[in-house]
Amino acid sequence: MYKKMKRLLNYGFGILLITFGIILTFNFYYDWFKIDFMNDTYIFLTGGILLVIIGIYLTLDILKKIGIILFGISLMVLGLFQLIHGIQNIVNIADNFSNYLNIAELFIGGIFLLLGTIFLGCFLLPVFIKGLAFILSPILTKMKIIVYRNINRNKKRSQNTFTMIALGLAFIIMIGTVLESLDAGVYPGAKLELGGDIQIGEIWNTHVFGYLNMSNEIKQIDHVKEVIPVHVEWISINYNKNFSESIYLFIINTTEYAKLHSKNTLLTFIEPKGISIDQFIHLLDQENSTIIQYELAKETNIKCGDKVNLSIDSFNTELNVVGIFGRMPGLRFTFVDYWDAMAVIISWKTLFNLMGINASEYDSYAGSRTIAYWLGLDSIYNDQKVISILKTQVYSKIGVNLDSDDIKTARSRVEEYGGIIKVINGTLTNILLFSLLISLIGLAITMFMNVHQRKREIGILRSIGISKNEIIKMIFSECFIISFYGLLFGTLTGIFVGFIMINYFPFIYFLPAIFTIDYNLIVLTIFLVFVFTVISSLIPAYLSNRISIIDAIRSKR
Amino acid sequence: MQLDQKDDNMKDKILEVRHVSKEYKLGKIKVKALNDVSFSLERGELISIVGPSGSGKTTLLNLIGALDKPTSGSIYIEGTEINSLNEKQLTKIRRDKIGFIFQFYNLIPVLSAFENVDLPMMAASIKKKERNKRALELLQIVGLTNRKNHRPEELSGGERQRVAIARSLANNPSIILADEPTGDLDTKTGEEIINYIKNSNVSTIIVTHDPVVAMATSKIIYLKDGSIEKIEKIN
Repeated sequence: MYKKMKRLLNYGFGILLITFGIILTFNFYYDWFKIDFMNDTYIFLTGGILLVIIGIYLTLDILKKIGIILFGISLMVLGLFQLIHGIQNIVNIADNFSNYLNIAELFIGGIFLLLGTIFLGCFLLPVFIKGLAFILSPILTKMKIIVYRNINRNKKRSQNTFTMIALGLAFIIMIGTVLESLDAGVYPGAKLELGGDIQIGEIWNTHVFGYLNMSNEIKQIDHVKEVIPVHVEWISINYNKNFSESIYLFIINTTEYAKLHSKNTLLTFIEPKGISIDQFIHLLDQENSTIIQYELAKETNIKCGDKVNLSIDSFNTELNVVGIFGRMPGLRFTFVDYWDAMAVIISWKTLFNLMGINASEYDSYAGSRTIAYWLGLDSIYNDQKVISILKTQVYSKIGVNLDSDDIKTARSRVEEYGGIIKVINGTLTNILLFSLLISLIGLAITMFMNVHQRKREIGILRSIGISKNEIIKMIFSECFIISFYGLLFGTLTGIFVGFIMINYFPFIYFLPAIFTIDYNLIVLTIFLVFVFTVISSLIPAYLSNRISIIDAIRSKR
Repeated sequence: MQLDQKDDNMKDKILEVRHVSKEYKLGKIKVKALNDVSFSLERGELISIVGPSGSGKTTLLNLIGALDKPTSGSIYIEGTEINSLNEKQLTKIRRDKIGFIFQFYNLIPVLSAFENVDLPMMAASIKKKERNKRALELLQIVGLTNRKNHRPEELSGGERQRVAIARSLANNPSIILADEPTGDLDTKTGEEIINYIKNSNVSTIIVTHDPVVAMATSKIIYLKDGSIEKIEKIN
């Protein structure tokens, strides 16, 4: 009667979900209901499919297997959509911190993705277990068959344990990866924003400070490794003959620039692909070459190899586009997508060629046109020493006292952003510790119950002459195989989801992230989870072994 | 006494129970489950132990099967006194010398009929080829060759008990101890089970409530309140 009722309920609920799912999915295409909140197509597209699949799963027994696979995949798709949507919305947080829901959305997306992946992991459990039992057979020896059968035929129990381990671990590693990646991005991000370890001059405001001619003096200061004199012009770019736009032209010293930023992994080059930062920057050394910003290239449909017409200093010139960049150091406006903040870059050499300046005049010309310097130091901790000398030199040269608007250091930026990162880190670390604690307790209870419920089986095995050691070995092996699979799957899933989160993370000037794996955290959590799993299964196994065989056989479990 | 040390006076007797008593503590009260029980079992002999509930039948069987230890007295299996053996040696005795048949079969639910029969041999480190041959032979004897890949939950009560018989015979034991082997079965299936046990030609002790089963054995030991009331030989 109960079974019949349950089945009827399943059918009813299943058919309801299928209908609702189909309506939601098709509504996305045909917009049957003119309701605004249905505009979030990703939820309704994937959510609709998800409901259809749960419906199929509940309604038809025969489709259960396919249902499980599709359910897992659709959870993953929903997770991905949710994740990307959440990440995209975080851009808004840059301007408006009140929208905390977007962070929640980000993590909900991550959890969906984790669940989907682990759901599929559960489905693959028997195949993996077979392989692992085969590999471990020299250790398992006599008990191999019973270990294998126990794991496979008590599928629900095994899957519960696996899910508990994999999900807890994946969540922890996912958060750990995000934390570590945010942390890894802080300093390169600051350097990217300022164009070097120190930025002298205000590129945006040339009339406040600029036209210094002191490259040589700066080079002489201790701890300074690279000096990049920068000139910025507001110019006109012509494309398709009939259209022109006003953009920024950056003139830089390519060799020093490449040297200073050669290790910064936050830089992105759209075209040509697969070349190093050095190679990309040095493309500018070719005669009459320029590299342009991705957004500009997209808007104007300019590709690598095309020619663009630039109006510089009241004369027009044609330059070859040798590269398209996504993010370049010092060009703060490349972090946001403003049309009036587009940029192209050329080298000083190209400018001199275009203007017909002799080699002997290079230094004095460049010096007289430089509005800012980007400096590379031997260590960021020497920034204050360099600044103090610089201030004296500038004062003695032009009688101007440099203030905080004129001189910025990457270290102060790190401290400034560090506050925001600290808040995020603090929140995430709390979640991390809490989830670690919960999953360890959950795991211990699951393992304890698993063994506790097998008292009778242990009694039977002992009555037919299986030794206590063999029984402990058997329980350890079962636990080892499931936890090994859980640990492997959980670790890979956590890294995978963390990778997706970080790689789809928008580049916000104060929140750059470089995908970094926190190996210490991974090793520590794997060790903790493994030790907890083993202890929480071996203790009850040992205790069950101690009770008399007769009592064990008589027990109902 | 070491496992390989034999009592020369007991060569024909496969089992000797000498003045065995067993006391349990129920809180502060001592309960005497067995009181000075002595009997012996000869090679190939099939005997039964009968008596009302609480008379100590199963306790006696558990003591003989090395599942429990007597408070006083001695039990010899093939001349080896098992009371003084350590846990490791007792495990060996249970594995090599004794075959158990329980009322509720006590098969391992996750294993197939074949694997259940195979398990005691696996524990005894017998080679796979030999094990497979023996398990198939035993399943053939109990008429379950076509059910070898079925799990206990897919078998009837009689079939499960036949698997249990095959399992108990796996390591060529000296004694089979059957605790109410027909208790959970109908009369016809019960008869079949007793025939299978009889045909195995292994010295067997059957604990039963069923007089028909008892009459099928060569000797009946009547237990009452933990003591032997009488021993009856059946022609």
